[in-house]
Amino acid sequence: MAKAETEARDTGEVEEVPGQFGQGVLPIYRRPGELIRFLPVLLLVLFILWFGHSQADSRKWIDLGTEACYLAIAAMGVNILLGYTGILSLGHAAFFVIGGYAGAIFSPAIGLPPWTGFLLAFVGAAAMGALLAVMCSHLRGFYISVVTFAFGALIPAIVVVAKDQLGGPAGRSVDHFVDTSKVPGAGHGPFSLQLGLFYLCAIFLLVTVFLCWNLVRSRWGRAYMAIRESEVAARVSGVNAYLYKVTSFALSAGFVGVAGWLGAQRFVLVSSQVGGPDQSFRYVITVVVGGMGTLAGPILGAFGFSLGFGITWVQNTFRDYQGLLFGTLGLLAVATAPEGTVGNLRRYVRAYNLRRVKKGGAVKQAPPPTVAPELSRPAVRVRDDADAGNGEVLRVSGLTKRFGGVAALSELDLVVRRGTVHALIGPNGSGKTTFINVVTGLYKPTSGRIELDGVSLEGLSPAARSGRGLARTFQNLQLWRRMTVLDNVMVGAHGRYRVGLLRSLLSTPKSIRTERQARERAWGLLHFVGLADKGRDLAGTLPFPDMRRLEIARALASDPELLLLDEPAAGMQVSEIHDLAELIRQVRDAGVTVLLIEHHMDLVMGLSDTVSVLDYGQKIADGSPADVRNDRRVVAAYLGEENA
Amino acid sequence: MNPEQERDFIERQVNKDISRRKFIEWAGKAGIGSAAAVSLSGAVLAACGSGGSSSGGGKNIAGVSGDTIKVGVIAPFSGIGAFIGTVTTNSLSAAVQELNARGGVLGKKIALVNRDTGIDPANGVKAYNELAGDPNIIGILWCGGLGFEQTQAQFARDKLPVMAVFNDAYSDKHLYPDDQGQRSVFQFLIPTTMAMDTLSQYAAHDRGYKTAALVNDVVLDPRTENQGFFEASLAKVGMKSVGYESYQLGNSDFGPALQRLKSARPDMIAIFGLSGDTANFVIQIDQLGSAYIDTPTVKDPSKGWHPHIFGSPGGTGDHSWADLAKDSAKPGTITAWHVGGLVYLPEFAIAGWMNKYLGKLPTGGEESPADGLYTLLQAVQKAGSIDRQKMVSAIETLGPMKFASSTFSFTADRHVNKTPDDMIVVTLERKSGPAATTPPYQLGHEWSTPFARFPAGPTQLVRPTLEANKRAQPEVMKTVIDQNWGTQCTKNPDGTLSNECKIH
Amino acid sequence: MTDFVQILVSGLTVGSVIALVAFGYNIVFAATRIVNFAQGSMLVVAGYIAFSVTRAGVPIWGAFLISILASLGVGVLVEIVAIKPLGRFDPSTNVGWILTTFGVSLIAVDLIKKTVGAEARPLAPLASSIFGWKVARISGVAITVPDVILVVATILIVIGLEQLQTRTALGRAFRAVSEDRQTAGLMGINTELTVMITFALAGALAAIGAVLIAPRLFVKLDLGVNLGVQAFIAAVLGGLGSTRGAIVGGYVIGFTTAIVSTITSEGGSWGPVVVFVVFLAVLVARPEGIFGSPAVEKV
Repeated sequence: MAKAETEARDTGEVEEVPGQFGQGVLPIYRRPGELIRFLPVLLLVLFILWFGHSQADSRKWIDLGTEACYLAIAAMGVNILLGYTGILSLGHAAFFVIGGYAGAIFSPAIGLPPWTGFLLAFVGAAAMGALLAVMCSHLRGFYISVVTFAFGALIPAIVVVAKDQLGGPAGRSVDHFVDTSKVPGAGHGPFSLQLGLFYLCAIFLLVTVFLCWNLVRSRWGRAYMAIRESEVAARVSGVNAYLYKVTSFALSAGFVGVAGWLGAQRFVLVSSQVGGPDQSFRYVITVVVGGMGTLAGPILGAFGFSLGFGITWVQNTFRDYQGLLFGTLGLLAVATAPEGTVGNLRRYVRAYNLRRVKKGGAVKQAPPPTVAPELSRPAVRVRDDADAGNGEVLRVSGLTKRFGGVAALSELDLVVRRGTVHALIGPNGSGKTTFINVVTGLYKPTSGRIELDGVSLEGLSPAARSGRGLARTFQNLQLWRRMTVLDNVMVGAHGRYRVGLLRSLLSTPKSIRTERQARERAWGLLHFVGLADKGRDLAGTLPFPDMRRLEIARALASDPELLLLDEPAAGMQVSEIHDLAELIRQVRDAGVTVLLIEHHMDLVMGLSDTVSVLDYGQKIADGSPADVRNDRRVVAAYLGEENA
Repeated sequence: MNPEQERDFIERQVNKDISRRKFIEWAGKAGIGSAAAVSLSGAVLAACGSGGSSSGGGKNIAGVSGDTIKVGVIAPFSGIGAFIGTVTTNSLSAAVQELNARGGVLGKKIALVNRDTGIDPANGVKAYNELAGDPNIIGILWCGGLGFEQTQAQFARDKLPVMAVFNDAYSDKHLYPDDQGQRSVFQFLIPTTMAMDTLSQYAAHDRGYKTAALVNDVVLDPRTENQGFFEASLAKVGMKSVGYESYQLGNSDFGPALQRLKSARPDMIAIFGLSGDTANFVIQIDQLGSAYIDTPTVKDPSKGWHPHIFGSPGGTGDHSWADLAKDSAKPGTITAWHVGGLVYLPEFAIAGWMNKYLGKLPTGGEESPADGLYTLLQAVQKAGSIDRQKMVSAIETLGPMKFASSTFSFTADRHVNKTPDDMIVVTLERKSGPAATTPPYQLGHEWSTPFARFPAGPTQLVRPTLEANKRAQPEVMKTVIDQNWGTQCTKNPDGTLSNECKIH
Repeated sequence: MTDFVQILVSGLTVGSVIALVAFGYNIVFAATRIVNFAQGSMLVVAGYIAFSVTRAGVPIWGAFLISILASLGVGVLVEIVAIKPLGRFDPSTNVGWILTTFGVSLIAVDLIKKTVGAEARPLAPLASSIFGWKVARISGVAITVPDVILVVATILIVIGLEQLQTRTALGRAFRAVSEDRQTAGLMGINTELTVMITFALAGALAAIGAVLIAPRLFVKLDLGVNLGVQAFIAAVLGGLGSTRGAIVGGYVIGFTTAIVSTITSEGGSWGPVVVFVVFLAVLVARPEGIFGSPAVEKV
């Protein structure tokens, strides 16, 4: 792993480590205004129109086209959760069933016209998706999948016992199905019902594409991807991971629910039999083979599978052996091509572009935009309840953190004064990183008090603390490598430029405006740290020192009161450390207080206003750099340690 | 290892992995990519190709494109119901060869399109949807496949002729004329209500049983109506229902259910399900020490609880059940069946065809798929077209047909071809010989040839339904009595059967 | 009293069936932190192998041994196909193995359908009588010799596996490999071989399970699916990685199903619902299961 990464840094490519399923696909970013990005959608529309026209007489192909469309909707739903948020659900087919019941049985039963069924289908399925999310979002990756699996098996079992209301294993036939012969384009042939259904499904597919397009380019989509790439970093940047996972589940379930409603129109039946683990697995394979984390991937996968089955040879060979087909494809895809078809296409395009650049070809990227000066500086968000008079930004009293019997922090008292660079040093294992983790809320303290601006942080989640003005960088770099540099900073500003989910989905003028503001701010901060000309590169392609700068830019994006830097100079060359010190000075001069954890004594001594020393979780010295350097206890604690 | 060796070791490992993996990766990506490309382009090409030839499909046309007539077959060819699929395959294979040898229909040959429902009802729903979209398919033979109930709404919508060969729409009133939307569906399977009536009548009148319980597979009874049917038919003969146990297909443990039944002590237990589960049931009741012995034992409280087992066709009436249950399959186990199902009778053609074309002998049920196919083709013949409405009218007005076994017919107000007079009672016998009864009875002629290879199998009890059967199928019954088929009691001097005979 | 004995007997027999399969999940997880979703289908394969061998005339004990030997190979095959191609990865974050093992199970089932056909097959019990004794009836509940063998074998296997995991070098290797594969490799443990052995053992357990289970359930395709799911639930409930957990989980499900069946005659329908609800509840409250150890995420 280490060797591969060094290679990556040198050549500017991100080496795909094979088998790393679930870590997202390399995006291709286009300049805003480049029309070519609408090409896939245009192709889709043309295909649909051509298909509907040419196959109007073939019921078999119309049916397959219909299936392709609603499975594509379901696949896009699964993709939101799997491809963008990085959560593998093994029970999503249950939402297909739920959507069918809600939209095709329940909705007409309470008097709503049949064609409105999709609303209840979406809402009902989304609600159940949220319920499932609430049950499992706090769990780790594998266990989330287990819970979704159990949920996916429970729903059909419930339908079986509730046979009076839900029809049991036989399901319920749809008495009030949508009269799709009235859909424009359905014509008056013998298959007008089926053709109309095809067009209806296609319309819903295009609507889904529209919504998902907006979603992934919005702050919500960025937040999902951040959770996927590094949930910890997302949380400390102000993303309430739990809430976002729940919404991701809900949205994803909602889309699958609408697909279920459409499927119910096709078979005139809602049945729990289409909701088992096999079906859920197929959704996942469709997404994986098509391309996780892309918009075109799920559509490609669904169309490929559904229409592919129309080929007589395929049908005859695989009809009774669909398990063989899906199992083999799944195996192949995960083991060798986890990015799927579209993902791999993108890799080749990127590699091609990269090679052209190396050979001296023109760089296609637009130059970074210029930004107003006030946006190109760190800023501190003014708070109403700020304890301005006191001058203390952070006050820690009696902080203790035990892991089992070991006390990583012991009765620690610390005060950080506003507008200073306060260094925290100590031998390895003295508790410095634990300290940051406790302050930012990733660990719960055993006892003690932490006050930011005089307000206690007790009980607040990392995201909430970010909202109160706390930001940090990570010792082992928690960048979102497969997002662009710009996006990384934009997620940093997650809490500052808020847009609601509905507005994001619909891409309202307000959301477009707010996005623009967020983007300007992000560019500004990139200018500040000197990364503006790499703004559209992938974060994973940056050279190492630039990655550290990016983390700082990201942290500054939330306009924090206090910036916690965890060994920002580790692994840097001397000249780079010099630049870093200058950067930190500028941050302080802009009014942001800095708490710096470091080993490089030159950096610490030359830069800090105050130094605190930790040893075995306790503070053993506190004062100006000169005082601390000569302190006997400090020397004793460091006995034998060399400067790096 | 020193640090350098460590580095080398890791490097070698990683490099080995990377190069091996790179190859597999490349191969896999190429595979997936080309699969996607082939799939989509192939689909586009196929769609283009078929777009033309399907013109006019399903509309009112008189002729058929090409020189074959296609019939769809939906059955469980795999999974726990696979033996039904085997029966279907054998029956239709022989029938198609026979019909094609006779020249086909209107000069066209017959071809079958099979779809396997396995153990999943969704497969049936989808299979039908797919076949109904093919304009060259003139009708469907639904031979026991799961998903029948779930597809009935589509039958109403599409009006494609569907032969319910091993499925029952009649009992829960989803057959025409009870359900006006199901005009294009015709049923061959003995309705569950009819079978239950036969069994209850036999239990009450011939054996004098008073109480009964039902053990029911809810997966095969998706609308959970069997309990109602059962209690209704018991009520008709003055018997009482004292228990109901439900289980799901594939269940293994009847322990608690048996305990409850034991407390209720029914004289007779009716079990509806597939042989894998019903075999389990009788094995476990045998382990409990409550296996059936004979009727006097059932009625004698001092001898313990030994209920008489009555089963459904496909549950306890066939060889696969006796194979699985082995010694726990007790002679005297009763099943309801129909005259036309006595496929070993020389009257009936299906056995001869199977022997001729497949070198196989029928095991039971093979008459129905063949008759279903025949009905569809006769309809085409009579209507002179494959127009769906015309075919349906033709079937309703064809009058009596005879093909694989006994004569049958449909009319405009009767879409099931079984009448109560067709019903017979069948018992499990063992080749080792008849049980000792008073007066004694003989094992029928079938035990010398067609059943010679089976250690156990179903045999008709002739006497209980003799008069009714004579009304329905006089020539057949003459053959049965004269040639000693089935399990018959002592014959009176005038050739009639003794009424004193109480078998088992 | 009868009810009590019935629940006991039903719970033990059904539970042992499930536990036998759960052991397979457990042993693989103990060494690799992977759940082998192909475990159920390995059981079916082993069963059909045993049946085919008996049909060729070999007595049941011979078939038993042959099936075990063949299943060692089946297990290794599963590992080569589903796990090896994934290379190095951290199983808890990178869940591609879920899809590959699941894929293998689907493939296996279809392959069986294609080659052997899909009918249910009987398999003779290992012993149908001990010293002439075939069935005991306690309080009206039947206990047969195969049932007794089933339960006793399950308990013996649990003890054996636990000894394997705690006292042998192989068991230590399992633990080392599951905690930190790279270090284990550097310490001289052949990690690839260890993983292969794990899967081979899972195969052997599947074969043992198949032969012990067949008298009750016959050999059929659906076994892999139904039993596989129930055993998975049992293994997770009890705590993945803990053999004790697997058997406890199996009995929890067995007894739950038995109790539900005793309370209602619709046990067939309500059983699965209750089991899933219990499962979800345990997962939400204590995701690591009854005997599992909670993992702490390092930042």
